[in-house]
Amino acid sequence: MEERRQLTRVEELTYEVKIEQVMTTDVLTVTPETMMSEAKELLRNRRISGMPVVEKGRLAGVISIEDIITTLELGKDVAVREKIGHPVRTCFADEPLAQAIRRFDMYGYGRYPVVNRRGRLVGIITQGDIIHGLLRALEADYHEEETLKHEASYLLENVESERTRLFLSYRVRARDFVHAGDAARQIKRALVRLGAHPQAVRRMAIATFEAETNIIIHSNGGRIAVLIQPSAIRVRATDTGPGIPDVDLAMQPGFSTAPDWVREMGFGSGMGLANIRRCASTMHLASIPGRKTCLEYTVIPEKSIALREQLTRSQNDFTRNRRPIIANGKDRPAQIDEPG
Amino acid sequence: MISHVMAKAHAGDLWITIQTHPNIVDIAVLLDLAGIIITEDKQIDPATIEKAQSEQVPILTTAKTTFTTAGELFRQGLPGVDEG
Repeated sequence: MEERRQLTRVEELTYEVKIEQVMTTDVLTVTPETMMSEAKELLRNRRISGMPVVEKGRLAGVISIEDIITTLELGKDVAVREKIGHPVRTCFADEPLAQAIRRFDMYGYGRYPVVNRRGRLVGIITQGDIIHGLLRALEADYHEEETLKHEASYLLENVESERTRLFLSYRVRARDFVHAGDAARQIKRALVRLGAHPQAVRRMAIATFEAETNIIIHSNGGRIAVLIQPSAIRVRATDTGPGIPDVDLAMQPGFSTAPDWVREMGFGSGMGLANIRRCASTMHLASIPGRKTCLEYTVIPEKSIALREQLTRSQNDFTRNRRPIIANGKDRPAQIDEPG
Repeated sequence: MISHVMAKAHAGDLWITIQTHPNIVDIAVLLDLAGIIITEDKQIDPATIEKAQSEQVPILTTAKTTFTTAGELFRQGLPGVDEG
């Protein structure tokens, strides 16, 4: 049943997609005076099986590897002109793919030169081009479908309650690079299962990985706690010191205090906090030098943007009660690019 | 550096790197990367391979340098992250 639906979609696509969208435009051509041996070398170097023959801008024929083999097997090298007797069958660039497919079915050649309506050669099409083109079109379809599906998805939507909260907590050990990323990965997986929007999942994954590695690299160990609500995902990454002497300086992109051996592993580029700020909807970093550091950030799923203001206020309340606070939370919605 | 990968890579991207420690697999999982290419035939930490197997992250290796590998793929028509 599913397969039949798919087939129908492919057939549909052969009418939607035009030949010019899938053809190869970088066409290698020869003239009728080109010698067969030379044509053979051209085909071999480009690893193609045939090419159009063009005389004074006009398409004179097509020469294929089969033509060349049969000629050269006879032991004499002749000009391409000798072997292009048959009428040239072409496709028009603005025709649907279905037209080209029909030609392949009817005449069985391996390739067709593609011309525009003024008769100029603009490309060449093979069955491989058609398959690639259709696959690309199907993929685009699939992405569209996925996007639609995700737009409908909503964090914890299947849970009915007046107040839904899920609390996750992870211990992070100092200098434990073997387990770096475990918390971020587990949180990511949980969010996917709970039906969070892919954008929100991605932002959380990046921010949490950075927070986690910060604890591993710089602190005496700590904990990452995540509070998941339908309206927002809130993270508190705390450690037990030694604290950050200058939070503003630490927030500057590229500033790093990581030792060389950490940098050699690829960490400690000084971009971690900048990455978190980019991905989080709100972010606050507070530290008591000699005692502890507390990083809080939230990722607000796209549908809950309206709640952000309220949240920023309550987070300010949280940080106001603790001293010293050097808060640097910028309210910036982050948009992480997804592949086109 | 890892944070740069975190900042730049998209889901489905291929990551070419000389790094071999197990954390590269975490990055690939977090960012939904298509896979990792490790260059210069660098000896891969067994823990990395084990993690890649359990997380289903493909790791490919090559004797070529990162520069040459990237150039080769680019020539085959694969664009970089800054190409859109």
